[in-house]
Amino acid sequence: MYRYLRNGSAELSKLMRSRMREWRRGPAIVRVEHPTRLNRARALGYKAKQGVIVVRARVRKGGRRKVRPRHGRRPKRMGIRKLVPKKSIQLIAEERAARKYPNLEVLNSYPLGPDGTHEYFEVIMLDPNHPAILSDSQLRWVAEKAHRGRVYRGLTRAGRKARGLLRKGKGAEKVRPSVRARRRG
Amino acid sequence: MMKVKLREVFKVARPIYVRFEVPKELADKAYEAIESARDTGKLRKGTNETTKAVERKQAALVIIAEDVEPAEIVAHLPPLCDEKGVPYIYVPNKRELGAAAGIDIGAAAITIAEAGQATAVVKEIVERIRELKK
Repeated sequence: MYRYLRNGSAELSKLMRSRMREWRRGPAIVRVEHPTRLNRARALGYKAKQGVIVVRARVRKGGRRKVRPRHGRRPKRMGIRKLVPKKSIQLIAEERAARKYPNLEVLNSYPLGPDGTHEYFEVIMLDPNHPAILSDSQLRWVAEKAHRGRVYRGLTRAGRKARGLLRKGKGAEKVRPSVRARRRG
Repeated sequence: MMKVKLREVFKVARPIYVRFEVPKELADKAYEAIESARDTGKLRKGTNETTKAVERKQAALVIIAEDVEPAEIVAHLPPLCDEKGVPYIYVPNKRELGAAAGIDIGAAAITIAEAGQATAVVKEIVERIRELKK
């Protein structure tokens, strides 16, 4: 049924552009009534029930913003350009959404697309105290202690990707259990 | 202030999936047809059921609400209906559409599968749509 939602057409991309015109002027983190990409949201665990919340987050594009050093050094040592954070912009979006809604946990997120200056994401969040979540056998895990603040500890998919945990075997010898733990050992 | 203005603009603009304007009395007639088909014929309620009915060509008339958000949910229906040769019409409100179909919540799309006593009304609506589309 959802294959119709997947078909990108010129009309739909036009619709997305007109939406961004509005989003740019609105708040950076805002709750939305329904997920804009329903098929993607459902694939990531969204359910249309109480306690499941969708938040749209807007984050600037590009690499790290850094202040230019006051004291002299040659251009190469300025350390302003081409510096990028180790987190993805998607993870930053998730974190900001979680900071705005401190009682919720981030389940997952997906991109809506970029415009000239920003990237937009929708973040699916769960309320670990809501009875509807606690009685849902597929979502109940989020109420466990081990998942508290999961987005800040890099346990969401975007976080695990930034930690290199989406690969296994060759090329991923030094990422488990975490990069730092491996370095110490 | 900017926000209010923008919202007004967006209200005026037709959603992208609305391909022709439906006069109010025709929309009312569609509600009427749904109500009588509900009791004497067969309805398919909701976008998913509608999509299936259209794919199987088991639809006499498809009714789509104009205030569906996000639009992607029903955006595939007009082209799909055109492809299968199924007539479709728009009504302004999804809540009223759900109420006409006898459910407590809104419905983004409803299909009249078997018209029952509404056969004549459906026929008339289909005629009017054909003229509107020209």
